[in-house]
Amino acid sequence: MSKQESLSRREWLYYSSLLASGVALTQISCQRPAGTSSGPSSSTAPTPAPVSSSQGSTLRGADAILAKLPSVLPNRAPDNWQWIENRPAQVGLLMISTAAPFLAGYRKAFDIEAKRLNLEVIALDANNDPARQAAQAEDLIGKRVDVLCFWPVDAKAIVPSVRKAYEAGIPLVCTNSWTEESVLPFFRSFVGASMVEEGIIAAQLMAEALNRQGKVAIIEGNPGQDAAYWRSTAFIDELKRLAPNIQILDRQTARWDRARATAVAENYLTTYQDLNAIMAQDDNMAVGALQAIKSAGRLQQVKLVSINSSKEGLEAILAGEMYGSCTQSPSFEGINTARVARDVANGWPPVLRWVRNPVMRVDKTNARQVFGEW
Amino acid sequence: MQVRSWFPRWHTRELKVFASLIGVLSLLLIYWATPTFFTSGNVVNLLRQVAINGIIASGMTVVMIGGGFDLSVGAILALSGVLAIQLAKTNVWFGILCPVALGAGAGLLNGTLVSRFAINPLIVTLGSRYLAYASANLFTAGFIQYNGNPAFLVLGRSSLGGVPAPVIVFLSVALISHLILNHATIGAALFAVGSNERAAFFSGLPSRNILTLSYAATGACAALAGIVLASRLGVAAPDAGEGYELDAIAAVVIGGTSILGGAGSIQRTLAGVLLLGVLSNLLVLAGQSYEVQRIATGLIIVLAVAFDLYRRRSRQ
Amino acid sequence: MIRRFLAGGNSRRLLLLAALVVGISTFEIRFIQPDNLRNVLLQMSMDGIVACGLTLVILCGGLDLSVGAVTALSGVLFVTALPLGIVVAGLLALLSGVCVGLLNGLLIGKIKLNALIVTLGTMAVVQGAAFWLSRGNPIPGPGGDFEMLGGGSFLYVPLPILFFGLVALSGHLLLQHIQFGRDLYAIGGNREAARLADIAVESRECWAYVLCALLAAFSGMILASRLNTGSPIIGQDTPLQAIAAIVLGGTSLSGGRGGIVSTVIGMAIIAVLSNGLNLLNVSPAYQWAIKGSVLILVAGLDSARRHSTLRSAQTTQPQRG
Repeated sequence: MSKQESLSRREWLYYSSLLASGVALTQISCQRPAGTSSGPSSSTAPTPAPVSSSQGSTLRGADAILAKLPSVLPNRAPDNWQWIENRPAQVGLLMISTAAPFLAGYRKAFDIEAKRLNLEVIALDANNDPARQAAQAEDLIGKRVDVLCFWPVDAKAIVPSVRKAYEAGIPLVCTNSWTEESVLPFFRSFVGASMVEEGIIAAQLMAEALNRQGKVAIIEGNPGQDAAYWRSTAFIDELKRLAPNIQILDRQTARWDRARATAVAENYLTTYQDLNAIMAQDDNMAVGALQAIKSAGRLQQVKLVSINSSKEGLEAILAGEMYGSCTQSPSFEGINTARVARDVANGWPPVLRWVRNPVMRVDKTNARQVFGEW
Repeated sequence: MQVRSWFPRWHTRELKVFASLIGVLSLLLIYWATPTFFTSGNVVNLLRQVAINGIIASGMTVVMIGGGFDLSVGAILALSGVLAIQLAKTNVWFGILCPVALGAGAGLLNGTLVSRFAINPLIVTLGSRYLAYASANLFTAGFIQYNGNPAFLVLGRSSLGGVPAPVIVFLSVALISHLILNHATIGAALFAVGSNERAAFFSGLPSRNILTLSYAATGACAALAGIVLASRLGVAAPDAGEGYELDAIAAVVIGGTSILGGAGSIQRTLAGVLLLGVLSNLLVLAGQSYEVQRIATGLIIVLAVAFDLYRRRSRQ
Repeated sequence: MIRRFLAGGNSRRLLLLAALVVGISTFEIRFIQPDNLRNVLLQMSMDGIVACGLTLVILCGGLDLSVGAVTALSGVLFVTALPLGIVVAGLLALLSGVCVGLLNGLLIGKIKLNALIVTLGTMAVVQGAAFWLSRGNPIPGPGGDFEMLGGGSFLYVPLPILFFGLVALSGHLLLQHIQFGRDLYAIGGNREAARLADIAVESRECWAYVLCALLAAFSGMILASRLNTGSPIIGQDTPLQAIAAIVLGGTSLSGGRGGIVSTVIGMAIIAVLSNGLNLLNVSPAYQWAIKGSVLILVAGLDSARRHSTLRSAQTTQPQRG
């Protein structure tokens, strides 16, 4: 080893004093008085009240809690009053990824609306990695953005980051996929569709398509993401209720990726020669699965049901290749997240606690009337 | 020579008999466990699945024979896929030729940095991997690209006499590389450069240029694979191709090409690609999950490289 | 003149780091705030622990691509084994790292297979094991005390940073003042010469791989505690990130040159770049481009310096296992 690598006594002193000063610095800075909030929204954070999910309602899990959270009365001036200043606020957006069409549509809508509302957007995408999302959340908390919008890759792994953001006094908005139930009360507002409802609609479509009996395989999204979990769970439970003769053969994840979905579908078609239907949790993945079905030449035998209608998916429904889907507009979610973020950043209570994206069933009869956004 | 004691001394004839016995036994086992393996539909499926990896692996063989390796193939695949989709909207031929040229250009850049500036190929291809993903993202602004043009989709989706188009592309790429490696002067020169670069340089071969060209070949193959994948799926994502480079290296190594350079052939890579494909196909047919496939792939890689070492040592 | 500028090694890179810090804070003053610096150090610690272990392996001329997978496996194992008690679970997780390291060390050190390929294989095996153990889904942790390991602080310094400091310090002492560390440098410099000098080459290499995997397992435990989840899909980027940090720090990939201090500085450069570019709202694409160009530039300048100092043709072969 060369001389320049080993540390002399002077260098030891230098490095240790650097370390000591760093420790002292963090020590001094970390002593913040409790209760300080930062940013222009000086309204106090809502006290999180413990809520339990109810039994016996059609909504389950997180959605049930959301439905029971007290909605806030509209207490804000309308947009066209002149003295309402759209003062530029910083919005932090933590997305799961950008490389899927639904996400691209969401992001475009969010950007356009944020520009119109004079918001500065700092959007970071986590590439489907929960650790990276946690690091990005920390960066934005450190930057003291005016509002932080979470789209959690993993419902449970995001919990520590949500707690840190709440303690830092940053108002939070949750979009598309919810977090684990324990931190739901920390959010000011939620924008998105009910994944449970989507799973139920998919189950109804499947029961019809298979005439209440047959074998189904499921292609899922990111493991651990709330959307993937509830779409599958609601689908399986409702299918059991509607058509107990339908058998679920397999469920594997394709992480919302079309190439992976094609590979998974090919595997299903090879392994299960008597497969009657595939349910894909997303239209992007469904079109990939459709590719595999067509290449295997089993278009007549294998039915396809998906969620989240896209342009290509609607064309497939009209051509009879896919049985049905349900609508979920990404621009609705993007636009409303921007609006809610603006409200929350300016310190106004949001109009609705849950801005619910309407979900509608799409099949051959009404596919022509549905507008394929993404 | 401590290594020798690890492997028993077996004569070549015994080894051949043993190997063929194992081959026959495994065929019988496969037939008993998963009879669907031998159906034509499954074979076509298998070939289609390995085609993309095969195209990349052919290029990777070339660069490994020259003594280097390329970790940026996945990123070049994504970049060329995105470009192909976008350019094919104006002209389909444009959309096929331009990305291949770009892939070759990226490979040339890699090769120049490795040969002329003498930077370790690991670092160079790591850096160009970041740069290629960055370019793909910038080109598409992060969004995924569509193309529904049937003239473009024919490359990935059609079949010729029952053989899917990606497989035809794979086999032609393999054939061309085989011809260049074994029957052209530049192929022989590449082998020389791979086994001992300094000796090749001092005996008059333009070793730096040859090395650069081998990287360009890899880049072009990766770009072609990206175009085929994009036309098969109809979309191109700017973050596609993650993990493809390691799959390609695994296929080449399992086939028996040495990572140190100077030896190898396309037939070996073909065998490696097929072996990997057959393995995952069998596991899928047997109902084993993704985890077991990964474990099996890893074990096969280690066994293959151990076997390769044994072969090399016993030859000395 | 450029050659002399770069001959300084660590001190020059510290200068680069300082220049980066000053440059970023002129555009975004929040970068300098202690909270943010604490974030930078925190993000640096997890990958930094892995990078320190990887430095040991690279110094003796090897390579270990399985560190990311070991991180995932140990996190999953840690969370799964929690019902047995947190201490037992932690020991089990570390034990899994030791086993993987032992496997790598035996295959690469004793049987002398190629390091790149073998660790590629072990990466696949360990990834498969992590997926199998967790059945593909991330396993939630119990929260509360469990988060203390990754989220707690001691004297207002977050625990991961303290662990990273301890690991870096002990690694540095190991390399500089203990025979084992000096042997690693010798092995990396010239394996045959080290063997002839009566150094137990295979045993040292084996230990290096074991330590590397052990540190990766430790980092996985901290990450699992930080996220309160054992996730089998993390760590896919980790080996390449760690190698980038090590190369930026100045350690040569063929072994025999470099050290823990270089790795820490390299890690700091990367962490400062990521955090700073996030704060400056630079899009991820440009961030990648910057990272890639910095990597190639620094490696190229290093190589140019070595070329001019040694005045001989550098081999372009990748390092042997």
